[in-house]
Amino acid sequence: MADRRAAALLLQERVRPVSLAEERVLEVHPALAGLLPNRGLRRGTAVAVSGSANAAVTSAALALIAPVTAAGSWAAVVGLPQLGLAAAEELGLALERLLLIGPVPAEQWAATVVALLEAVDVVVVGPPPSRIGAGPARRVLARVRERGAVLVLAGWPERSWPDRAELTLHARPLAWSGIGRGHGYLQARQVELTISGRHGADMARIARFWMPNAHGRFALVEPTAAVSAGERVNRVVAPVPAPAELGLAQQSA
Amino acid sequence: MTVRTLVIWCADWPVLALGRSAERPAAVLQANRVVAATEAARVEGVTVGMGRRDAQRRCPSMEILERDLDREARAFEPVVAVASSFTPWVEQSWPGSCALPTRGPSRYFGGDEALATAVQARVEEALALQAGRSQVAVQVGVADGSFAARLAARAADPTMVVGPGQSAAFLAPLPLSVLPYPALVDVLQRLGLDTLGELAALAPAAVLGRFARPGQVAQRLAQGFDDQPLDARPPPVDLSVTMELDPPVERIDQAAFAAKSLADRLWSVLDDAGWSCLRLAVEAETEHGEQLLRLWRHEGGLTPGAMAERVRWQLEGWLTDGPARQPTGGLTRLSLVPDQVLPARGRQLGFWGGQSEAAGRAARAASRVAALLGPEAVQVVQRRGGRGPGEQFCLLAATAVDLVERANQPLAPLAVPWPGHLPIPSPAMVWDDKDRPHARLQDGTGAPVRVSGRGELGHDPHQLWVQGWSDPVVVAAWSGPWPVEERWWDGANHRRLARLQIVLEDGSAWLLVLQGGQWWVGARYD
Repeated sequence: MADRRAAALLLQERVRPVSLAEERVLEVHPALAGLLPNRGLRRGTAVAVSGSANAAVTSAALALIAPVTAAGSWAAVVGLPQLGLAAAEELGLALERLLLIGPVPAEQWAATVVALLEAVDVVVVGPPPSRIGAGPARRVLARVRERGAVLVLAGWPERSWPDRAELTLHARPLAWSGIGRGHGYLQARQVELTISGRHGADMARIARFWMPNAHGRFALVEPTAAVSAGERVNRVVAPVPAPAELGLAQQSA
Repeated sequence: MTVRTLVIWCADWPVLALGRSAERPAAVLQANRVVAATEAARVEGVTVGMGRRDAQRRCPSMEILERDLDREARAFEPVVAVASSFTPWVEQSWPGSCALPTRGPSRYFGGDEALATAVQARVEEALALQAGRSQVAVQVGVADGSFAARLAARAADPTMVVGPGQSAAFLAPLPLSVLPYPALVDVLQRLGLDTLGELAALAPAAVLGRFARPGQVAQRLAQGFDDQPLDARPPPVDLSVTMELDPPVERIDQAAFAAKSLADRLWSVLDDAGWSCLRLAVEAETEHGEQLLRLWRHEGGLTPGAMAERVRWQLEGWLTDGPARQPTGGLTRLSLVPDQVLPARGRQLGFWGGQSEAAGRAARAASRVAALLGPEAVQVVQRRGGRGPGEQFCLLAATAVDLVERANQPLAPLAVPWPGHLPIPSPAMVWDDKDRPHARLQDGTGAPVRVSGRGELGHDPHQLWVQGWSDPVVVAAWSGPWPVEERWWDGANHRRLARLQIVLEDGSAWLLVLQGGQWWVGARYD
């Protein structure tokens, strides 16, 4: 009996994968880690970032990849010519490890992204000038898997990416604070992020973030104790401050 | 053991190799730094290492050339060919200079002085034969060890011989800055050492203890020993790799392609055996049996890319040489023979960075994308000062900068905040002045909102329309205007504008710019 048990244990040890899936992740902001399966971006996958009326997409994509670059990886941004570099830096991006590529013609899109994937761990791609076919998309995804990189689709229209993304971050901007009718200035904004996807993220999780907060950074609004590793949290909601508390004084003109 | 060495040195080779005359000011730049300048440019104050703008400011009439290593190597080939007629053991490390051991030829020519004079005359003659080349000053130095010989060649007029055993005395009064380790030299100078003699006189154990291997190497150089590591040796087994080329290769790009795969093979052979290659012999043979052998030397150990590059330099020089020495047939055999190896200890990466590998890959990817989309397609970020959200950084073509160097130097924050810049947080989408969309900001009556000369809004904004929108959207909150007046002293670049932050009812936030009586979208807080 003991022999069989030992043999079974040995067999279990032998067939264990060399690196567990949860170990092969790219680091994300701690405020976001609790909401993602494996507490990070799984390498070799595509992540879509979208927004209501395309709002807050750029900030969300930057906040997502900032910790990866800060940890020493290179990143590339393709087809987002209006990227605000000052904001990127405030969100924590290491600009010295960033390659920027302007809009790429559709026929060279796949070749460009594949070439970049040789060197960088994260490629953020803005919406392409025209629809990307299934062939090029498969080629890119295959290389993403092979290299263990992460492809971030920022602001792509619904169904324009032929495959389903592993993870979808949907941003819904709530309110800006600090600015009134003719006084103050833009200070901070709350955004509601809905995270859904496959492989452990089937159930959508919703949380509120400062994006950016008064220092230009990314932070969870009132982190609640309910967020912990591995626990299935359906909805993480902080108490919503009334607009007056946010400093959004609604003055009558 | 220190080998008595003769060094041939052509002053300002990077610029003279491009066919520029020493009398006209010209400079060769690499990554926006001057790497060489003509005598005429130096008189105007242009020095090696200076930035492009600084150099142009000192000498506005100067011709600026980009570095072309291939052409330098090609033009240098006749010099190496002449040197090879004295001894086959000619060593090259970089175009513009080559070294040969003097033991045999010195005896034949009757002493170092006679050899130096003969070499100098023959090289100058060979260079003068090349059409369209201006007079190049060829300088020859002989000393114990290649480091001392190199410095002797630089000081030569046109030849200089430092007697056997005199190298240390010759080096002693020279400044520390001649050592090829700028960072170490900087520290030593701050410790109060000025000359090589002072460094040589320190206790070797103390230097080794404080500065480790670089300090030890620097001190050995200062003492007149060779810069060759002590444990360099011929490989214990034959590690050479050979490739038969069938059909014979006549075009240089085909040869270079073959060289690259050969270099990769050699690299894996060396890697398996745990060696790193210090000196490499490249042998090429044509279908008519002509042979060309050259030795290439590299202090840091040759990487496959560096090996392939040297093969290309050598073959370019040979295949494009004058009809007298040009081979008569295509190349049929190419072999790489590691001539001196030392145990590969691995490279100690920097304590703070360790990023060289990733940065090297990024640089290669950048050049691949640049080949696909155009040289300016891949850009990297550089900080500069400015008030507007798009003015705080500028973009440089990634192929024009050394990414490895940059990756280890984080963008330094500005020492003081730029006065008048926008408050944090910054907008995540910024439009260029060239392609920004125009906008209409209207008050409650539908009239455009204006900003008075004193920087005050005429009426409260009510709704905003942006180019491309079908309908205007109602304004929920706003702040400003913040007037900006820039470069009022400069008629052409004078700008007056006002900025306004706007939040619309749909929650989107915008930075509007009023310039020339027209509202524009400057940025969006996306």
